[in-house]
Amino acid sequence: MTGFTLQPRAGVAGPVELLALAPGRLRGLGADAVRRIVVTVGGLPVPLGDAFDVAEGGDEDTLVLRTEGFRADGIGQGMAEGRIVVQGDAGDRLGARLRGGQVTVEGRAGSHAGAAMAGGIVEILGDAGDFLGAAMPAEPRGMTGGLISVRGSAGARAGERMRRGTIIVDGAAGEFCGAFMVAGTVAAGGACGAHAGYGMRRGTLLLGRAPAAAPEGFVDAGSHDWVFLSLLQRHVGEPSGWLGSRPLARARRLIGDMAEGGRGEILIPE
Amino acid sequence: MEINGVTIVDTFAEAFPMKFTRLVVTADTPEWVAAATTSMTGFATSVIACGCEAAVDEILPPERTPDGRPGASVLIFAVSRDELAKQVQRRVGQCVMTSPGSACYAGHQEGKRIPLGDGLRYFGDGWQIAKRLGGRRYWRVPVMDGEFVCEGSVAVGEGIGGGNFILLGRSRPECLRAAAAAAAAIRDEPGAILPFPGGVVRSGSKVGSKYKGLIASTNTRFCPTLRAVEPETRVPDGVEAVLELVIDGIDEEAVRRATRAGIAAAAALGPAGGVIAVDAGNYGGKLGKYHFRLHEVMA
Repeated sequence: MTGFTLQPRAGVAGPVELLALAPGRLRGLGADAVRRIVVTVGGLPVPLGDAFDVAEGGDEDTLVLRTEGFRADGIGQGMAEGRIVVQGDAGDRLGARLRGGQVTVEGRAGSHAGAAMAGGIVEILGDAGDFLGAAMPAEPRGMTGGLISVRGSAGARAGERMRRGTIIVDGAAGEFCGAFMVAGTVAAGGACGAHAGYGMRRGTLLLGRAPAAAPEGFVDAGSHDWVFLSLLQRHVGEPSGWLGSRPLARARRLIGDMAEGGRGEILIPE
Repeated sequence: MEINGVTIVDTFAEAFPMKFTRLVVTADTPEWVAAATTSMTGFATSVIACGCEAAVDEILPPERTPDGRPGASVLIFAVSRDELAKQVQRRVGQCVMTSPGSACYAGHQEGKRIPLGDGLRYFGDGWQIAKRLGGRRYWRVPVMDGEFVCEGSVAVGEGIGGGNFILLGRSRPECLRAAAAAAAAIRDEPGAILPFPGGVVRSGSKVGSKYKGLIASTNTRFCPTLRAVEPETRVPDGVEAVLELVIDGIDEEAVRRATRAGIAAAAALGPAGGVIAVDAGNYGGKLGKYHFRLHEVMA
């Protein structure tokens, strides 16, 4: 199939819920069939063609979505394959429950980007909101696989309750980053807010900037060489952001949260 | 057939299907890579009594290893997947994990998998950490110089064991020089290893023995000292020493390539260098699935 480009029609009042739009689902459909797919605009079901101009073309299995002037939630939510490129900002739940494929946002993303995702790549070139890669509301489990790369900063509770996968934030991360983590890796290049790793059971927080003091519940295990950091850098590859910008062989290790058994770690590269 | 005046006997090497895997071992320096791999591939000359056959396949520069450090890839062959799994656990656990600064990764990804770090992780006594990166799982096991990083599992492939050729030399030093030249040439061929000491076998064997319980005994047909009493001797006049190169490979092409490179290197020395003929070991073609005819290999 060829790809599709969606351009919002004038006067579309958001928010628009785009759960139904995954490149895999569009495969084999013509532009007319795509226009008949029902999305939610302002809480009401509407054929896609009423809200967007749909144009065929572009890269195979790729959906280009222009979002200037309105809020689009659920972009790529539950997607298993293909690629979505958002030209503009994304609303909430960008790439949430993602299982495969790649979602790229050229602007900012709202809350719960990559929440509960199990595979694939979420790439945010601007800032991300709260609950990046965390659990969906009222659910117990954060992301279980895949990669989230944020070129800007992330809000509060990035990686909360995650149990596998990798989150890379080039900028700062908000408070409670990696709280209640069960496993996985969160790498924040900038400053990290208060209570990093709070309630963390296992997993790795990699902080490009050392906190003023070890977070409560963490003990200092000294500086060491870490072969696995080189592995991490090489596997993450191109979207590595700050991780790929310098050698990361040596880091200070804080172990915690001791209240949860002390199997988690905060690594601060030197 | 003659190459550079050296007779290539019209015969074939008989080889067998074997299970193999490839491991990549890294360390801080090439010397510590060698320390780990030398230990790991020790006592791994023949499945007859060692459980597996193993050797370094390639020395890897940092840009070709998963963690960007110096490394080497090791090929290990065994008669079954279960035996291979046992040997991998023992050898990586006792020889690689124990070696300072080492890490161990899967170098083969296609096929059913056997445990690597998935078994060794228990050494971490609960402090081990799993990391899944790019669909592959790695274990970080705390050890006294930091962490032993080890991939969770490695795939098993269908390989070939027992490829061979036999050098017939005018004198023992000349035969050994030719064998060493052949071994050096084969080491440059990826996908094939020479599991014996220095890549050379001086005690080639035949199946069975006059003694009960021995499954192999000296290959009397190639023993120069028995030439006068062995009715089926393959040692012509003027040959004082015979040495064999046994080749295990990941596929037929790898064995063929290695055989060709080795014979070519030995034959390049010519009769002036004491190389009289090149023969090969077989069992009449009844035991092994793979036959490497020397004339076809060298054509």
